[in-house]
Amino acid sequence: MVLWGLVVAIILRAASPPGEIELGPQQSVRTINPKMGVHTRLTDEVEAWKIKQSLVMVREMGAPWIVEYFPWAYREPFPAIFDWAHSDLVINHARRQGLTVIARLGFVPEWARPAGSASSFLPHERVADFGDYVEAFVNRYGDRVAAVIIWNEPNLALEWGFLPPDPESYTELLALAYRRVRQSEYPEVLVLGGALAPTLAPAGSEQGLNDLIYLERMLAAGAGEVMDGLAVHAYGWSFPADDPPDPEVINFRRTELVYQMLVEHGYGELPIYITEGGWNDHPRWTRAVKPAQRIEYTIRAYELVESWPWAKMAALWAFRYPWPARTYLDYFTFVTPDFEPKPIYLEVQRYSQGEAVIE
Amino acid sequence: MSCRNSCYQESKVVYQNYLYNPSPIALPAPAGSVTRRRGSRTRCKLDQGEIGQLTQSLLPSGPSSTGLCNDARDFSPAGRNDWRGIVERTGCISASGGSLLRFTFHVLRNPPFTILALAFILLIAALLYFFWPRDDGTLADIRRRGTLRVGLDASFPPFESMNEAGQIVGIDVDIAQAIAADLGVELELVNIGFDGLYDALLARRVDLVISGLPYDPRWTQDVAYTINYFNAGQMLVTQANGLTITAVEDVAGQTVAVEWGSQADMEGRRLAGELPGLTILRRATAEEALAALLAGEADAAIVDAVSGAAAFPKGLRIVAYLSDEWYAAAVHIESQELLAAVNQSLTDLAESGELAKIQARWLHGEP
Repeated sequence: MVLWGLVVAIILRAASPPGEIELGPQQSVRTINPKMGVHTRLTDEVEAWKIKQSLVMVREMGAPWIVEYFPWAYREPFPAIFDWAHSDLVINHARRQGLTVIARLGFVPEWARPAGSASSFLPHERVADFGDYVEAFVNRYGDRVAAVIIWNEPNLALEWGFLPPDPESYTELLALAYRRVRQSEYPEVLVLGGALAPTLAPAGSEQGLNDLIYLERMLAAGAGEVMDGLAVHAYGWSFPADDPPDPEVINFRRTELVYQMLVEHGYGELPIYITEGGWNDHPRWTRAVKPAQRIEYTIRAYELVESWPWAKMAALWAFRYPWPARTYLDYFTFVTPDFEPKPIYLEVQRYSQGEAVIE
Repeated sequence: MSCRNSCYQESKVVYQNYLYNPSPIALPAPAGSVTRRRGSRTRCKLDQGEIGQLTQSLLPSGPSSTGLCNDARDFSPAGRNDWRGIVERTGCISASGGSLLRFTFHVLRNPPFTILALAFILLIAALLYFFWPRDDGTLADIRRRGTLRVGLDASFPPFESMNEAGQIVGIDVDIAQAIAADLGVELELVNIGFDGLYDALLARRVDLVISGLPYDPRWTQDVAYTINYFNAGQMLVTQANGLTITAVEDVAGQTVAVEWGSQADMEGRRLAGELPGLTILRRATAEEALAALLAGEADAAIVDAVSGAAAFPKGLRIVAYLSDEWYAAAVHIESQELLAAVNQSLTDLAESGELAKIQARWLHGEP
């Protein structure tokens, strides 16, 4: 077994991202809005210099926060055999750029689920293994990561192993992760409840469950006691940032309804972290807005979050993709795969530096 | 086959008449005959007549008799191989009067690359056999079925969108109709979300996707793209009667209108970094940017080709394309016959001018 572990470790080492790249001097973020953030997408970014360049550009845009995904399957490809090379790169470079990192954890490895099952399917008997990963992650990065998000959008069947969304089971998972973080070497790391997908899907839908209904059931199951904050996804779709909250509408200020629910259940002290969100300016997608509107709404969203005392930050989706998706998804980004800043990047940068936006 | 011919490049016989001529002399190689043994090894064998000719040329007086020593007629490949793969074969012929001819017969052994070349050809043939795109019979199925199933996302005017009657209409629909007509079948439109178009093709729910589809190299293992039929890239336009701007460089010192935040805005910022004095005039939409140009507030505009083309009747002229975004149709990678047929239809449409008419109808509203 030891020999096997050694062989696997050597293989993993050989397969690690090529080349180290100098971290460079410690940097800090200059911004007028300390709640600005972006969701980076470095999970599939192989080259170290691209990881560094992405994080440099995030800092230069004036966003002190990033959210990044650290898939369990990538970090623990074999039971108890961890490969931290890629996450070391991301987290160390992010810290050196002066960015605060929030880590999203999920993605079940093949060894922890039945063959052919979805990567979002976590068998009950493997929940403790996920707990092991959470604790191992925090033990390694607890001094460099502010918070961990447990799972992603569990109110969608797609993200819950294609099973009917189950707020009570998710709360059990959250509670386990919470305990493991508290038992870790860095118990001060915050545990965030997984962000729910904003959706109006009714109970019984095959696709998912209305996020407000799901959250209410989570809180009823005790989720408020086993998290330090709640991650929220706040997409504006085709509505302006100021569009008023309405339970029947998916818009940016739906976040206020989520927070209101926390308040109503006695958890008003739990902060909100917007870990995805924003607008899309694809020319054809039905939920897209004009590029000019996207700029306007995005900056307004950052302003709104700054004004919300119960919101800690907003990391909008997504800073950059490693390669073009060649679909509407490309129109969520701030920077092209070639690191060419889009106008929205430049305008958000002007905003963060206190300069007047062009128009 | 003669020894000369079998030796591929060169055969040289060096005879050394120890008795009369101690210095080696070179003579043309005898023809000999070739026998092959043990794979590729070549053995050259002289018959009695050739031996006689050799000794005659070396021994002017002519031997009274000839014979072989050490069975030298049969030059076995016992010699050494040099780096070129030459086999040096030696033998001797005894002649009357005690004369002894020693000769060295240099032949190029069947070079190893012959085998390699043969193996390479076989490998290529095998690869072609296994990987040559084979047709999956989609075209035959279409003809048998009598319908061409075309996938598109009807939310992208003027290429495809729903009209007030609930029908899917647009440039791509007209092109698809022409392709179906060429195939002699009916057209069936399948409205699918853009993200599901490729999956529909791979799942055989549709035969062809034509939906303002940009060429995407990441899909080329699974789908085959047809020839391009529209460039939706960004273009620099100016007023049709304007003579100041005839090339991209001419916008230095000029005012260029763009849609704020768009790809055109990116192109404008890029140009502004290269051309001195270029002023960017930003407007909320592409239509407003073009209106600014037509109103004389800007000297040129950068817009996507669809927006620009729609405004051509108002008096615009293309100066240059600043970027390319080609649209093509796509078929399953195994639908090679269908691909050829669709390409032929698209070529015919372009050459007949019908493609331009279709685009003008939807982009400019021309009849």
